Amino acid sequence: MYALRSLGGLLYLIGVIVMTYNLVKTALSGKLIANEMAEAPALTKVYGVAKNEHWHRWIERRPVQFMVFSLVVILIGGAAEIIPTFLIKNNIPTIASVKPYTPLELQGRDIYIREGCNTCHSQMIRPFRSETERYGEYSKAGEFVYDHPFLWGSKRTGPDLQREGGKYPDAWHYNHMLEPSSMSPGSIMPVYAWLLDDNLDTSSTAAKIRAMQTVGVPYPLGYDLIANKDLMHQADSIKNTLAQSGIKTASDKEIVALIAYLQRLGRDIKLETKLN
Amino acid sequence: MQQEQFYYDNKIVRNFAYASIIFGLIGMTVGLLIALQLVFPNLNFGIPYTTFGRVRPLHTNAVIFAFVGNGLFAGIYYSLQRLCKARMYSDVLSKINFWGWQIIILAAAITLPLGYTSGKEYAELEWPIDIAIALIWVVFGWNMFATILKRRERHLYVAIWFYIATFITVAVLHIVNSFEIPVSLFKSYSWYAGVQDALVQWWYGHNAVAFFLTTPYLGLMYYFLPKAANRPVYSYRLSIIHFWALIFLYIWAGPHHLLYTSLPDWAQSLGVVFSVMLIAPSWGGMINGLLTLRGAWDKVREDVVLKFFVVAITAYGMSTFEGPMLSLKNVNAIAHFTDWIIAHVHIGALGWNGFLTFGMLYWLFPRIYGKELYSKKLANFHFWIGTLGILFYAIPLYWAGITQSLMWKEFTAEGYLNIQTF
Repeated sequence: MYALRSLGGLLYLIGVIVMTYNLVKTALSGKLIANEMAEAPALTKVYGVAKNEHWHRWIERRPVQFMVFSLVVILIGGAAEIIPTFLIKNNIPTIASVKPYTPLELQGRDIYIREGCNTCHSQMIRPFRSETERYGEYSKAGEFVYDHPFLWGSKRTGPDLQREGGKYPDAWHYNHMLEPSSMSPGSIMPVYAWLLDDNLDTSSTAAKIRAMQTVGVPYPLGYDLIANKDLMHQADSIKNTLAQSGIKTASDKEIVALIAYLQRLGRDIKLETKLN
Repeated sequence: MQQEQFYYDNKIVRNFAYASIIFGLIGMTVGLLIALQLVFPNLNFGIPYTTFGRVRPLHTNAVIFAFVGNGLFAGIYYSLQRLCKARMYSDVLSKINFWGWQIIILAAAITLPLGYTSGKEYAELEWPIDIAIALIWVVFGWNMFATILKRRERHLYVAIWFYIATFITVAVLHIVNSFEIPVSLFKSYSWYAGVQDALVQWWYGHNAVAFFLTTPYLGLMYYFLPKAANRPVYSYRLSIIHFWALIFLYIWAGPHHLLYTSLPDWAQSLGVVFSVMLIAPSWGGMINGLLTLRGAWDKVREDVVLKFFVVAITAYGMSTFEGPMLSLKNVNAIAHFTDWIIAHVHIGALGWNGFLTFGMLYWLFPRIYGKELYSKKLANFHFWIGTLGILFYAIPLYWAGITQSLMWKEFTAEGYLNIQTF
């Protein structure tokens, strides 16, 4: 099916190529009328209005009022939906066990965004039995309060990842990024081998923590100064886990950050169940 | 009454038209690449810059903002001058609009494969480019509105109503959805989070469809179709009612992208209801367009421009029926996250936006170059191969979307998921 749709796209593109040729030949055979002359009288300040003119004609003569009125009309829907969602707190019930991402997980999340993972993977489990059987507990509003931006996704070319955390060992993710079909036979996911070689840029950690604090994520005051310490500590522990599976990697590779992020996904509410 | 002599600027129209064509070719080629990557994953080439995840937004941004964007500028700059009987207010602003927009596109082409992305669909471009978009959009609006103010035709024709709504709404949508906190020169985080970010994003995203892909093109339809058919628009009253209803109702439809998600139920319900109501003003536009051809259908047989317009308007009607159907929760439960949605998008994109642009270009070029179209035969070939292309694109994806959805939902007799490997 994907091949057929590619054929469809190719046919469409061929049409556009043919059009381009046609239009260019037209242009070359003629001469651009760069400035086309026209004549009309200026509007008079005073004008007569027909007696039974349609009521809408009034605003058709007044572009400023037209624009203002259009602006009011289009603001209504957005205000009605967005304002309550921000002001009324119980739209997003707080889940106490949901905590901000650690610095390493935040870096990993940014790699996920950079590589466009959310183009093929959703992070939103719908309340259907077919989804909860496949992916786990359906997604709750309170789980996403620290997701700047949200990553619910629009398409499942690959599986949903909202409860990916803890499903597979770290080594699975390492191998999967290196060569997806080694862990997932038949997969069409691209290889992401450079994540295993490229170093994580930890110089951005402090700025990222501060930015998140500005938009309301409750990292402790001054945390940006010590964030990289926590980052390296968590990275070392992932390196050790990988080593136990026979995978040798340095702690400061991007893959370690991505693994940290993926292993965090969707676990916070399970903590709550544990606490209860 | 003293006749004033003035000149319409066709150079700016030509510039936008060529930009639209060039970026149409590029954007569609990129689309072909990513479609083939799903068939042959080797076409990701093993390097970061060409992976599906990074290149898909390049395709969407190119076809929406570069192909359709330049197309709507070309059509608006041509039609607005003539509807106002006035040259564009400022040639300088016209040039800034043009070159500014192309620089933005270039910035997108460079930054997106490098991985500089906000992660929000159709709003991927990072914050410096967001600022540039806002500035150039204001330049466009200023140039357009100032032209309207110095018009020699007192009443604003319906096309101009759509252009005004386009300008003001896109400005609001872009600015509000682009609230982000910069971390570095090309990295920022959305000001909003989670559920709220999702709502703002799809208020923006759906209305990008409404006010970037639909309203300006309805305006263009209202100008170019009557011109090409040499017939008056079918109904003035219909144009009034469907214009105001459209711009009011469309805004509410955003949540139909978030059905059965963690978005609060009341917001989902509003999205459903308003999306279904939206059939009326959308079809109002389709009806007004198609019935304009009453008494002129024999012309459609002969004129390739009209052929493109008829398919465009029909595709508009199809996708504005399908959209509300997909907004019903039970249908959405099947279609969301599948290729059905991609099929739906492309009926609108290839059919409505693409074909209306092509019809408009085929009508425009002979007029601004003072020469008949080079080959009617080639234009007709384009029409037929393009139509075939749309069918081969959409029908396999309907099949694929429904198949994958059914597979995801399949249980064995014992009550276990039939397909475990996804």
